[in-house]
Amino acid sequence: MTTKPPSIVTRLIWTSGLLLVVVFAAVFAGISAGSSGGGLGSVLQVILGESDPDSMLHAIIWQIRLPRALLATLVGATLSLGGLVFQALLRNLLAEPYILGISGGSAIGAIAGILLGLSRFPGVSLTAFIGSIATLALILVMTSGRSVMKKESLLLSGVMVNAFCSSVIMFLISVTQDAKLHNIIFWLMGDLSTADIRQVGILAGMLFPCFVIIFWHSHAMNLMLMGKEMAQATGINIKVVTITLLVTSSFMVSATVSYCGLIGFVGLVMPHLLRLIFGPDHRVLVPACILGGGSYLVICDLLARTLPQQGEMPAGVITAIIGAPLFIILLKKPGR
Amino acid sequence: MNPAIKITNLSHSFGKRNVLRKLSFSVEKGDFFIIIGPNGSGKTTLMKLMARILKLRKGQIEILGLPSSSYTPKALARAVAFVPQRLPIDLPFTVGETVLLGRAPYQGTLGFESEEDQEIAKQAMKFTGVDRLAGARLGQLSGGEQQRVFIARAICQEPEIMLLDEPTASLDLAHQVKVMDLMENLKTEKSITVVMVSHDVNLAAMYSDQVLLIKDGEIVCIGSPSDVLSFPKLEETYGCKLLVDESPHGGFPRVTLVPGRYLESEK
Repeated sequence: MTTKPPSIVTRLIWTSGLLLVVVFAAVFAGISAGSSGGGLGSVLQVILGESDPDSMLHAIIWQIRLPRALLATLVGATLSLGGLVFQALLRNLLAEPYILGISGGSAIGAIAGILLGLSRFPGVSLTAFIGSIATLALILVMTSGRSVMKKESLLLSGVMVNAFCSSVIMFLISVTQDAKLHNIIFWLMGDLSTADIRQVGILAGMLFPCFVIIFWHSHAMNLMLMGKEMAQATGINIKVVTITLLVTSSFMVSATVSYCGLIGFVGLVMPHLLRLIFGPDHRVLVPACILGGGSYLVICDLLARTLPQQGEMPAGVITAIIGAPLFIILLKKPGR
Repeated sequence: MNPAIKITNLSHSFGKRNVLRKLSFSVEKGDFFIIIGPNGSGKTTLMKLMARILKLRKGQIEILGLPSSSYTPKALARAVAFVPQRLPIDLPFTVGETVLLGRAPYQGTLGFESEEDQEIAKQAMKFTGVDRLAGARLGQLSGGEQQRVFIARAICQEPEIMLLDEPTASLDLAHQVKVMDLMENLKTEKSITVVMVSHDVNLAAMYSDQVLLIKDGEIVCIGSPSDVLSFPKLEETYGCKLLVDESPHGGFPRVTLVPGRYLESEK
């Protein structure tokens, strides 16, 4: 060793600090842009409380744009963290809640909840969670076998689970009355526009404990990259860690799905990008995914709101346009 | 003094297939103990049970005088280190980071490494001769170097017992000797009890204190290399004609394969 590499704590602090700035910048950008205008200066005035509280811009920023940007941050953080966890547990860089079909499963649960007329929290969140756990169990059963899950069998079972989920969703839609239909369809495409600040608060309350639990297991994820056997021989209680991580990440993914529908590929794009920048250590990657993934979805949502000449499109469209080609590139890459 | 590992009436099965049947033996502290036997004899299963990677169902395994089930995962990892047959060479970490993972049983949950951890990892890499590769990725190394990286990682666990599943299997001759010498140094310099599964009866003859020969999950013979390898059943156990004589170097038994074409002419 010629130069001593910085310790993990130093790297952790630097990475988090840097990405925290990025998040603030992204959220500020998200708040500033929109069809109702408002220059950077006047937006800053509103945020700092120096503007007229009755003004139009004040209301738009505090009641529409800020909740939406915060929701995007939470959802982006959750989805990329979920991707990171699944990638570590399955030792497969292509694993991601959406690709594995876990998002689809929780969508079925959520739609069932909406049709039953349940409230968003805790009713729909709960049915979404049940749906995601059911698909997770299904995937694990389908791909379980003697050896480590193979890339192909995992992806194929994900494709099948997704196909199955979409047909169930289509079925549910076809038997739905018109009034609820618009709701469901917009929500299916990944809709961040329904946020109000109270809902965002509830969601944050559910997600933060999950973030902490996952960070607490970040070094176990490092060790698990060696494979189950070696991780166990290094003092990891594989069963406990695996179940904790799977349930925690399924819970947080289904919580976000129940709020804003299906947003795909965030869990693929962000962990991959952050791994390239910050290296493979999960103690750095977990906070990086939370902060980086949050910023990413705020930006994607910003693009989704501002790119169309009229109206807006769901953020899921942008994330898929970016994510799907990357998925293909990763799939073609040798040695994965 | 308690033996390092004491195994009593150990049986194990996968489904209906009995892999191990009522094995009983001990590994004494400080021994270089090599398990040999034909393919499918249950060597790897035996080793995984000792490492508690497989769950013990029938029989007892005592590690350093205590039932292996009484250890917490971390406590067991401080007593027993394991190097599997197939190494995770796709690990994205550098050599230095990989070796440091071995410190986990001594660290908190988040594994923040202390100066001491760094120093121990550095010494372990020096011991196995990979210290100059600390910044390299695993995928860039040769098979022998990768093997030594994972042995260094196991040394970081500061175990009393090290279990290795065929560490020389895919190595060329020079690397085989290097790894085996390293195992011997572990025994003599660090007084670690080394238990190894091997296909190579000659390496077992050259390096081990005790050899355990198993077939179909049963003990055929256990004892010093010269006892086991001169054992008349060695040929029967492996199911082939063998020539056993004495090596001119050191006088240990030397097993030579006899090609099929010579068997014909003898008849």
